[in-house]
Amino acid sequence: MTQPSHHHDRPQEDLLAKAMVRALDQGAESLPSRVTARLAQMREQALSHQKQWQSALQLAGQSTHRAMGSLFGDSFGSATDWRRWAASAGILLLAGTFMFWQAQTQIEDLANEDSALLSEALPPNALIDKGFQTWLSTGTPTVQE
Amino acid sequence: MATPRELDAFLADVERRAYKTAWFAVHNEENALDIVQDAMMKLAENYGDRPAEELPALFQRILQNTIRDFYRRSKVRNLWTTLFSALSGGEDEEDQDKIDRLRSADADQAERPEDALEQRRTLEIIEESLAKLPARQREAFLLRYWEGLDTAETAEAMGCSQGSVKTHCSRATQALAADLKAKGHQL
Repeated sequence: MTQPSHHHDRPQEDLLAKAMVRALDQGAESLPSRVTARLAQMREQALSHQKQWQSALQLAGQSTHRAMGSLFGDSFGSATDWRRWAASAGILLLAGTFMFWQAQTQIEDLANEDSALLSEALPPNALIDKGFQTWLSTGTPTVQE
Repeated sequence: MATPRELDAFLADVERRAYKTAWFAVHNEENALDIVQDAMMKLAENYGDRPAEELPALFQRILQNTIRDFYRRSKVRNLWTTLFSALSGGEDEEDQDKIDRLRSADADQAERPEDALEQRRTLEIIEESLAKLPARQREAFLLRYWEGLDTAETAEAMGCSQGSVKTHCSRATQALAADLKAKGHQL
């Protein structure tokens, strides 16, 4: 159904609509203070739920997750996986601590050996002398010219 | 992606008109505020990461859908009320078109600001006339002229064709003009 009159009256309709909108704007500007206060409160509440910021946090979490996933595999993420990875991390920490303790002990042993060697009356060079080594193993001195 | 500042500015700009739009539809301050609150939350939670320029159309669509949801709930509530009153001997019948004209006779909006008397009278007449319009015509008129959406955006917000929007707007303006004239008022 065509309505040519609509096209014909369009400018007048627009003018009337604009005049009404001006009046409506005035009405909207003079809302009771209790309403404007509620609106402001609702706006604040909505802003605190903005998807963007939740997404930003999720994005950060997802990036970390992806990085961990590339290291440990795609299944990284579920609650069970987290427990598994936490247990693995604990084991790794224990192994690291053990290796560190072992290295420290080794260093201390070497230091003790060194100090024992240096405090001995025998000069350290004697220990690398072949004749001295033979004499120690056979108990018979071999004279080297 | 809309920043919190952009979303804040958008909501601050639109909230009063949104409230009035909801109020024209439901004629109750608390219900209108609830509708606007729902619409704001839905926009922020579901579309807060959209570009700022998309927010107006999205918000209007959400607002209109929230108003329609309110109508549906009211219809169900009214149906139950009718059933109960029928059981208790009442004879009221549910009017099928009542959904388009939800008006409470004692709708009170106290504390109207003190504008000039004539201005206030004009506004009251316009608001009354708007409230009397069928819901779809009022929706089209407010979205197109008050919210400044173009025909395509209005059609998207209303879920109808652009041709329907033009027809609704035209009929709404004609009905408003006729109503104002009948009340001896001219803009």
